[in-house]
Amino acid sequence: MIARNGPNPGALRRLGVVVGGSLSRGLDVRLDGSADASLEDVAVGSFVTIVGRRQRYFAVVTDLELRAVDDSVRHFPPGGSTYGGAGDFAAEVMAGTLAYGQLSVMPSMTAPLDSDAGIGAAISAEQAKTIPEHFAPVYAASQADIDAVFSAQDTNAFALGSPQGMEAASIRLDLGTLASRSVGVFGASGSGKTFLARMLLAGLVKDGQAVSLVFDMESEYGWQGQDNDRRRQVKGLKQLFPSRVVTFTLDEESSRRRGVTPDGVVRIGYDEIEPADIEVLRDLLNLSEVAAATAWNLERHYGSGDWLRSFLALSGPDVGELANEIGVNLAALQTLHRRLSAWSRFGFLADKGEGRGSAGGIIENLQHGNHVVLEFGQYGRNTAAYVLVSNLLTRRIHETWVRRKELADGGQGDEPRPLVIFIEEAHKFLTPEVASQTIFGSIARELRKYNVTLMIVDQRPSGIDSEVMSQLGTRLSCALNDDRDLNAVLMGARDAGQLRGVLSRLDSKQQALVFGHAVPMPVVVRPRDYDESFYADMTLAGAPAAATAGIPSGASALPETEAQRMQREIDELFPPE
Amino acid sequence: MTDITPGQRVGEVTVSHSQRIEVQCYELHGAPPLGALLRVGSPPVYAVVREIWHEPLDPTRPLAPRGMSLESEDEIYAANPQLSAMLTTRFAGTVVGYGDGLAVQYGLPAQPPNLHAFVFACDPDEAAAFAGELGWLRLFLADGSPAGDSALAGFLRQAAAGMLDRQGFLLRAGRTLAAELSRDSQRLQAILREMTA
Repeated sequence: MIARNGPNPGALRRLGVVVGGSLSRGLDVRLDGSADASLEDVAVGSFVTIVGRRQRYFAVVTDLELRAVDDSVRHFPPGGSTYGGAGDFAAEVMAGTLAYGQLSVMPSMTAPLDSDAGIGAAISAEQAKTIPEHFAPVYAASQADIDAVFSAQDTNAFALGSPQGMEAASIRLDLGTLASRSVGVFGASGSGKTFLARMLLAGLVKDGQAVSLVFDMESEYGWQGQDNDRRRQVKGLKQLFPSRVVTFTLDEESSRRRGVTPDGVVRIGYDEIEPADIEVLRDLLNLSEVAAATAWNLERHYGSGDWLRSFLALSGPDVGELANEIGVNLAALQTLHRRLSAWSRFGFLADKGEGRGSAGGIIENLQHGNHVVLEFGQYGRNTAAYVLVSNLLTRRIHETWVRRKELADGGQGDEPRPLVIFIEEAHKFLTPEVASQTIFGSIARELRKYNVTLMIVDQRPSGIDSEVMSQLGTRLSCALNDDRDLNAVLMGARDAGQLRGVLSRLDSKQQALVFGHAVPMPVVVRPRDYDESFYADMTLAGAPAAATAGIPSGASALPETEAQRMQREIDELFPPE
Repeated sequence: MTDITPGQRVGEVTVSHSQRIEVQCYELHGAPPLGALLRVGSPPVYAVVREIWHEPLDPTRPLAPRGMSLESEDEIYAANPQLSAMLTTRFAGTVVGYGDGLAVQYGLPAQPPNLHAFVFACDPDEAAAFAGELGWLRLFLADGSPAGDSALAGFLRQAAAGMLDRQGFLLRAGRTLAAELSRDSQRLQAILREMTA
């Protein structure tokens, strides 16, 4: 008999033993059939610890199954009319013997079995590359195990929530790791993805390793958000971190109506819009390929800075003449003119961008370690406006980051801060057709090469280009209703087959499956409440103070350091444009 | 039918195999009940009654009916006193263990019981003590016949009667049985039903 010394066995709830399986497909665990090991007490997504001969394994439950040794149990179940009388007794005898519960578990982490501590505490847990032998006992994971695997001891890590069924344990994320690759937050409408995203953003601000730029479609991240379930207002990033978050707006009036004073207003110049921007918007503007392509002809005709303003200045008959003159399809050009003319309602479009371009103020803040929320106000309801602005600004910012990164690589200047660009409704503009043309597609593909990553928040991941999806380092998914969305979220993930069972059974609210780069193994999390205690956590003293400088319209500012002042002056004297 | 006092000597071994013995009773109709635990010879071999039958002592003289004009069965024997000498009761037992010093081994003895070995019906305490560990179950099942299943259920019922935790024992026995009969859940259920009847 092999001695299998579990960690303090008395404290653990034994579930069963390993009876089969493989590393690729996961392990089969036969439940003991004791009162402690009922199928009803083991939820899919919960954790188990397997005590092997030399290794301890940490695994997640991916499926539950009712098994019977003899198929006739299905046909002649005890207690059925066939065997009246002894039914209950027979059922009691057969439950756990002839008929038993089986768990499918996926071993993810492993650590040497040589101490009383939980997995990974002092020992480093590693990705499982082995599996336990037959009949290794399986226990419900203890809180210590979970805390160790999800670095709960690391109080600097961000507490995201608790694992399923273990309210007292804590799942923590290293936000530096999270931000180093692109992140996807998915979930059907109302599943809590906005809260999850808001928490991650708050964590990023507090953490200070990366800066973020939030394209805030519904104006719910900056000053305050709405909790629709509890009908209350919740604090936005600016309220939580007044000195580290800068809000810009596209729609000053909306901001004022909501009693919010933005730190800056963004104006996009017609001269900043490029034909590529029109290509990206092709679907949203309902343009044919030909119509969208005529933008390039217009740019050639009018010159790169002026094509859009000049084109929109034309009246109906002039468009016809222009079509002849530059040799493009008249109907296509007319359509383009009609669609783009609607942009005259966009109050944020100006003849010329301000100073060093619309993105200047934002870039300056980001470079100085401030997080920026750009509120769209009324324009958030217009996806074309959202895409136009976010794509255009991101392109500018990305250019700056690429340049600075290249300079840094060449030994000139510091590395740019890691930047997380936050976008919503990505399925409307990261579709397979246009993803390659947007800056977001490029950012997703080039990974963290230039210290820029994406945080995509979306309810229809199936609409997002699969290449972009597969580049997401970490995915957090709340409940999704559509099969295609489930598949899309799991695309390219290891063990997608097993995770699917977990993902499809998430509660419709307040549960998320987290997997990928930032977590050692997939985990179902009940995100913590976004409430006073969260606010208090976020405002704890001792977090690294970000330097605040160059907030355009005189919002509260910390004194800038000497180096930052010099950089600011250099930037002002020698504009990056 | 004669009542058997627990612990009473009931007969002698007339046929003896490693796995199976046949016993002729001292009295006609004097066999212990189906499923009763037997202690045979010394050192003791334990067996469970799995089949009982009555027959003429001389197989060449078959029985003929005698009670056509009589009112009851008892009158037949009263009117023919020679019958109890000409007829006999025999039973078969399945060997399920043997005594080894003070311990009981669940297995077959090195030698089968001697012919003419005395056969005792165990009392409930002895049966309960023997049955408790359930190691004998496999041996008993190895000799499978419908009457055997009833004998098994009977033995478990009788052993349980001597236990403090009757229900707990039956459940444990049922689970062991389930493991042995995992491929035949219908047979299992039939035995379980009889066990608790």
